[in-house]
Amino acid sequence: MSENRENVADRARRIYEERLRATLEESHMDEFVAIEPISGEYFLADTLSEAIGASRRKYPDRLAHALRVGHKAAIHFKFQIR
Amino acid sequence: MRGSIDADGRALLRVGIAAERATQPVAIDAWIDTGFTGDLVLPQPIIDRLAPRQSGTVDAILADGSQIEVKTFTCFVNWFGEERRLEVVANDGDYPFLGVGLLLGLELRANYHTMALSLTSPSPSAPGAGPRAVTVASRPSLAAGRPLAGATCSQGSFGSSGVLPFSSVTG
Repeated sequence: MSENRENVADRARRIYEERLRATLEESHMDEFVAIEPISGEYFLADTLSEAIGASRRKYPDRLAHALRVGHKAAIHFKFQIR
Repeated sequence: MRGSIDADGRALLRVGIAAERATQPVAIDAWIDTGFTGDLVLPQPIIDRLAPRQSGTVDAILADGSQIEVKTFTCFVNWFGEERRLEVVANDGDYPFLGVGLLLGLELRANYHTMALSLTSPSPSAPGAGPRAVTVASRPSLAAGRPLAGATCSQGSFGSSGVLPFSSVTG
């Protein structure tokens, strides 16, 4: 991998907050978005797998961080604890 | 596709999963969790066994409301007769969980009288009917100053047999 995992998430969250939140929350509520922070590109989809998968197809060696538009987190666990 | 309900009332579905395309899958019994908004969660020991490539990270909210960051890994499942790429979430729990991302477009029936469970493709608009355009879009960031250039990605059709080849699955 070409980048540090923590940096990927932090940078992706910053890109979302600074550049994407206002636009995406107007027209893409509830969709999953994977952000590849080196390029700054983002990938919208109906499922987590489709969003991250789209990023991986374009950038096979780069990690992406996924969020869900309009939500605190992309996924919710009903049962299990970490 | 047929699953089962165990003595504790858990709805279970057997899934064949592999870290690479066209490789022998490992069979897991996943607990169907309609409160999980992703596709599949695997305990870390199963991730270690499969050794898939990490694809990214994702923020998650636990049942107690706390927020954590978890890793995602690219895996491949035999889903209604076709290989489907998934971004699997790893955690430190004890059970594999199958979430609503894999259930979309399908009909899940759980009979707590007979303890039988089935997952079927109920209508022509369901995945078994053919290719479905999904709203995957690749777009430059707004800060990059480039025009938005949407791209679509076609999700392949799924077979209608609905039965995983359990006999060919090891694990």
